[in-house]
Amino acid sequence: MNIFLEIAVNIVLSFVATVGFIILFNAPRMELAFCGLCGSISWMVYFAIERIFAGAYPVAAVFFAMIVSAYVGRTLSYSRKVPLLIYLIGSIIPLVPGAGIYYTMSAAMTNETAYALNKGIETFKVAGVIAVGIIVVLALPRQIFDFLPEKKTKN
Amino acid sequence: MDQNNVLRLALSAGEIMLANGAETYRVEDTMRRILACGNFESSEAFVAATGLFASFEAKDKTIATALRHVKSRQTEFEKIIRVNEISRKFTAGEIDCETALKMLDDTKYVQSFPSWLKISATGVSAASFCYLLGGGVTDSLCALTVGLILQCLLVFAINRAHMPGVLHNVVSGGIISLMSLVLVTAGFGQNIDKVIIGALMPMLPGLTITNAIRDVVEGDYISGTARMTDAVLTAIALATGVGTLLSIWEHLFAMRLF
Repeated sequence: MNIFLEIAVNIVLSFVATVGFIILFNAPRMELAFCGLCGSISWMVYFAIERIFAGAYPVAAVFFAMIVSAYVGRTLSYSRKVPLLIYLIGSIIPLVPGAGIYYTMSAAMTNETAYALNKGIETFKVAGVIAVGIIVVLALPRQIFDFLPEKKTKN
Repeated sequence: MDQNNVLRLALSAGEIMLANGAETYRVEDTMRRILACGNFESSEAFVAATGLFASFEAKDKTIATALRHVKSRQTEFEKIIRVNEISRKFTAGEIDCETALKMLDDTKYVQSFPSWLKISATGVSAASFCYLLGGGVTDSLCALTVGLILQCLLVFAINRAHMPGVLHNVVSGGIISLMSLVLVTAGFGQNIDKVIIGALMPMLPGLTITNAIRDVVEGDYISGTARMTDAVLTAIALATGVGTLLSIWEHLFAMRLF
């Protein structure tokens, strides 16, 4: 497939997937598009690193994707005066190791213990890296996020 | 300003936030800010994963403490944001305590998204994740069907049965697995694993994980570990439901799935 078409498809689908997920949590209607943007950014960073290094560093790819998207989320949360939580969920959902959980369980069910352990440890690594990525961004000082104009509040 | 009403306001605000999926530290912070406006000698708020306490000592040395137990749990961000705005206005002195209590009461009527939108959102999300994680177009269509039917069942049957959380997730996992197996065996999709992963993604505890991490970062290790346990248990329960149905299918029809 043409690489540009593939990139476009990935951007659109990660956006749609994140918005669909965040609707289940009754996010405010105004924030849906921004959540989708966070999800798209985190998936595209992950996708780019996976492609450039041919899948050699999946855990590092998740780490960088998490940092970039959490940075965007925190910036948006200051400018739009909305709890950061909403954007963070949008950022992590494309990276959550759903595939890892599935492969671990299916291997465990068929008594392929070695493969199950292998996949299980990888799943835990990805989950841990997501946590550390968020912690790193939360530990940064507020000043470097506070550059977008603030939303006008209506009174 | 009536001191008991300030206590009541802090507790109600905290209760709504906690019951709708806010992080523990944010609830505690909101309650402290409200109590600080009460002209007390000292005041304190403490929030655990399933309940909240607030206490004050007034200038005339009377002491009052109250606690609320939060049983129901859903996720409605709209309400959290509303309560946040109300507490911000109250602490800024723009509205008085009685108005704030009345506004908190009104958050009950905040509309959540209609069921049809949630059902289609699950389906579309499942299909998109299926394609992103390596499924083909036919697999994505299967995941779309599975997501739609699963959320229909959840909204109209399973959520009304009020099962314990773990059983709820095992049942959801089982339904995902069963429907994917039926669709793929009938020849609509190629990769059973991609269909199941796609349908599984919208069910994963993304919110609980995020909340747990934020609580730990803010130093609230009790709530953080409680929520982390919840998230891990949810994921394991979902996987157990999926895996059990897969093994049963394998035995019944004697086919190699993996």
